[in-house]
Amino acid sequence: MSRICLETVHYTHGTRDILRGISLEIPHASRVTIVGPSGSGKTTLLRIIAGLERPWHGRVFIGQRLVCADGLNLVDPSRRGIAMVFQDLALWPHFTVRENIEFGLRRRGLTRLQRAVRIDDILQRMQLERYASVFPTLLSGGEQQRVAIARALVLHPAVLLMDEPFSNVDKVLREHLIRQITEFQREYDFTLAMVTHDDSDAVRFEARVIGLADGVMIPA
Amino acid sequence: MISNPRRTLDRSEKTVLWLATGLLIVVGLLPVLAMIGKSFLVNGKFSLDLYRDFLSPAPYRKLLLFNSVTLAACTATASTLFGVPLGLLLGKTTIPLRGLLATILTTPLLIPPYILATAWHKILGSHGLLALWLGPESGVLTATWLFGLPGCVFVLSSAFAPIVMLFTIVQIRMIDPRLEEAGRLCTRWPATLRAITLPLMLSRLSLPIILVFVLALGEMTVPSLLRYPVLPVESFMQFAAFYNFGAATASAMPLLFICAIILYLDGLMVNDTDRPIRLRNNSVLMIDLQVWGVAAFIVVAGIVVLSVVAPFFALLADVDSPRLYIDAFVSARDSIVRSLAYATAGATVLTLVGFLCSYIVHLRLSPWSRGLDFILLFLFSLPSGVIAIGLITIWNTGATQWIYSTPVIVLFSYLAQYSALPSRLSQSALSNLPPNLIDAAKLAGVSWFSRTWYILLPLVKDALLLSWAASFIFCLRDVGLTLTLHPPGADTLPVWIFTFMPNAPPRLISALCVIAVVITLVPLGLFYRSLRRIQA
Amino acid sequence: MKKRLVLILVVLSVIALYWSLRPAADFVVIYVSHDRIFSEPVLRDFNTDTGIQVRAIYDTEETKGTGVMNRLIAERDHPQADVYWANEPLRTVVLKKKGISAPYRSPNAVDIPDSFKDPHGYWTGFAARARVLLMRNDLKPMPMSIAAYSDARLQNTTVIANPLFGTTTTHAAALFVLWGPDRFRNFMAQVKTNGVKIASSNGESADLIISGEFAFGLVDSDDAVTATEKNTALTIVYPDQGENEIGCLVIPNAVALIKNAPHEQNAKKLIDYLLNKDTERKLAFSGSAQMPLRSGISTPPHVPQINKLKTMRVDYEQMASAIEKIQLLLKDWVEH
Repeated sequence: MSRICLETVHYTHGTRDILRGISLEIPHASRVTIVGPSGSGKTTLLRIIAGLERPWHGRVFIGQRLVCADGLNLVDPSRRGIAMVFQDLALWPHFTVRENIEFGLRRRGLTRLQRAVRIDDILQRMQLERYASVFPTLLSGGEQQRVAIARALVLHPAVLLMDEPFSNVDKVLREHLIRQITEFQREYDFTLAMVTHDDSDAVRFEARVIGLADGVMIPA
Repeated sequence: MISNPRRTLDRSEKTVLWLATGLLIVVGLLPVLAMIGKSFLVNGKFSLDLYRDFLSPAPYRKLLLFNSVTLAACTATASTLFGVPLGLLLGKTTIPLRGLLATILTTPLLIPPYILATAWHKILGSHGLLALWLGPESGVLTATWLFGLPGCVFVLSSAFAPIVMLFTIVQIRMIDPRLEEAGRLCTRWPATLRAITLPLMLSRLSLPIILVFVLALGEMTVPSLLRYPVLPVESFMQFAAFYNFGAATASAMPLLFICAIILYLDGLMVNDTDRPIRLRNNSVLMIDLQVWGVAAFIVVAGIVVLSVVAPFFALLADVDSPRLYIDAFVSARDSIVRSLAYATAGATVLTLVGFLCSYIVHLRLSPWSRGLDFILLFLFSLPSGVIAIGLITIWNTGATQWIYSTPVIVLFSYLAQYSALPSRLSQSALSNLPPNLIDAAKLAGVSWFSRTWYILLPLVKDALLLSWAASFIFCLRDVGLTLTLHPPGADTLPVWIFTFMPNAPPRLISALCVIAVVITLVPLGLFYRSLRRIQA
Repeated sequence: MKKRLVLILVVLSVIALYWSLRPAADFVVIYVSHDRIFSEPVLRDFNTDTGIQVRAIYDTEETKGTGVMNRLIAERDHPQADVYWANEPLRTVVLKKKGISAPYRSPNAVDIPDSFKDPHGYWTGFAARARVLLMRNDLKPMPMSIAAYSDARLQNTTVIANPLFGTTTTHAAALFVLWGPDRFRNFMAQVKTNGVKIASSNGESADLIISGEFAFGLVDSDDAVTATEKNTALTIVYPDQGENEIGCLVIPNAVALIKNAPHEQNAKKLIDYLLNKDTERKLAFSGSAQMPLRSGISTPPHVPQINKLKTMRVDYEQMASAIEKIQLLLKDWVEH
């Protein structure tokens, strides 16, 4: 079970309140898109779920586990079963595409064969086979985006967080990626939370929409 | 990619860059070429006689070369082994008082290494402080250890490890935290450091390691004080015993090959694919050490005590009366003012020329821009005597007395020897810039000066300020060049101390060394403060 | 704020450059190879007594007194220096040979013995050091001659400064001239076989004897005096004082006028000042403990009168030629 539950989460940066008492539940294997204007706290919300930021107050549950309470991270980000696609992709420039995808898998205790099967599968599904031994800096924006998504999906995470994952891709590729991600979700049953500024993404994903403005949730 | 050999240049861009290159060639390369020319002349005729030894070296010469390379390699290794972990601890973890610790650890870099060697001699010498506490036998033991390779490596590493440490701290700031966060979602900090952080920094660390290697290779004062025979001594001997400028230059030529090898290795390490990309702001993803913070603090504080506090304590303990400081200050007052003036002017010129050179080298504006990089590094590694005598040969003419008989010649010598430093620092910053930033301005029709002033300089501001500070330090602590080139009656404090040392009361010398440290720290402190204010 | 910082740096640089180009007063330029701590007070006194500003460039022991020599040679076509104060005459002989110095006979030098002056006035000696043996008080047998370096009983206990540099080169050249090539070569070979330690300087030799690592060594008298002040268990012996012995080598300072000196008149005044008896007296009482070359000048107890010593008879011109001949031999001696 990988529901996500936030209870009165409060986050301040300097003197500015980024999130003000957010409470939210995302059921297991569901899809949620978080929409809102720039600076509304969307990305921070994802980063708190991932454990990359610590809220000042409030609690965060992943599944039944309390992972964060009142300013303390109780579970390390690497132990939360979360994968994330960053807005700026954060592809490791010193690793090839294959190495980027493999890095997380190496930490999962899989055998070399198991890893190879998984990587080949994801490379093929994302149409990246040709680029396996290429460094990401040499790829186009759309190709890099696919690598970032592949790097997240290959881990078969319990929760997939995506921060503006389609900002760099054309319409055809966007449709393809959405299809792939929903297919993967059906296969592996993960919970999906995605930040976007494009309402149509929510429609295409058939996802529940959560609105965020000025650090508080608003009706979408 | 920003590096493009077929890049189009504005006329103003071309003019300025050619001027900078020209200045460097005239000021730095020409004197050395004149010296190399002399090395092929014996009794006015072309001859390879002076290179005969070099081509088939005597066993002693081989030993000197071997010793030099061993000393440089050991110093570079030790500086890396200490500098990188210290940089990581102080730049990337929540260790308490990290700013203070980093500042204290940097101080040995600010003073001429021979002062550090003198201080260690006061501690580890056969009649040093340690022998006083633990008995004469331990003194003999520590003196045996100090005089020779281990002592030289120890002293030079404690002086140069801060270079690696500071670069590590700077490089940590260059790494985008997202790259590490992406790693942290898969694994814990140690593995993230090993697989993401360190590899991203590694190619950038070649610069400080090369600097340390070259500095140790050219260092003469410490090995001669601690009695370890090295190659620069050979070149020096040709000057000293035989007044043979040609032979002195010939004996320094192995350094040319060593530099070429280093640059080649450096070229292998850096390539476009492993360029850390700065995607967002300057934030650093810190490692929360929690309870381990105290343990780490104790370890670092121990290193601080050993490498900084102990030698300075030895110097301070020597000065038994505050009156000595006043006496020392009064007698060296003029030299102190001159030191600061020369270093300020030198650092400013070096930063400017270094930046322009880095622009040429980094953008690969011409097929020989890599050659410029090589020339800068070669000049950096040359014994100061070769550069100094070369400068006299070129600039001591009737028409150029306004250069030669004034401190301008000292500035020229700084430019000739130290340009590699600001150039390399600026290169490192330029390579982190997204290329489109400048191209966007170019497309908008902005002139080169405006592009540089409004876009490029603000973006590499930190590196330029660091260049200035580093150049200031190197000019301020210079002995070799200033000793040979300063106008009569216009020496600097390090030269003053160096020429005063033989037979002067050791207490007075210690007081002067303390003053030398203070006059380096105070301006840098003020500089740092105004820097912080600007950044705020 | 950023602009202000840039402005401050530019202004400071301009001030530094302007300051260096400020108009000159009445001055004289001297290059000095004698230890700064001892020579600077003398030059300061000259400034006080005459009102002529002295702009000096000093050398250090670390550069073996060659920094300014190299500079003088490199500056030959456009000399900056007016006067050169050498810590030994051989350097001034080299300058004479290279055509860098000019003759000047100071009226103050008439009573300085001819053996310490160039016959044509290219240099004049004053205030000398002696080459002495520094040793432990309890050393048995107590060496009284430099021949002790080849004494098998003192094997591996002796130290000498690198003969490629400084006064040790001078000493080697003097022996070469006095003994001839064969005897000199034999002696050097015996010294080496006897396990002599080669130190980087006379100062280091003295330090090694002070610390007890070596029993005795040939050093300059000023180093020896400093050493006995640091360690009272040491003795100074003026070597080879016996009837048939060669005598002790005395090395005076030497002063030379530079050819085409930019400030010739001031240069001559300074040379006269350096060669007066009072300067010799001051140098005898200074830490450098130098012997006056003339009699009748008072000295402290640890500085002997030169007429009480048996000194080695040497010709500095011959020694300078000898140095060129023995350079390679000495280099070989050091390296193998």
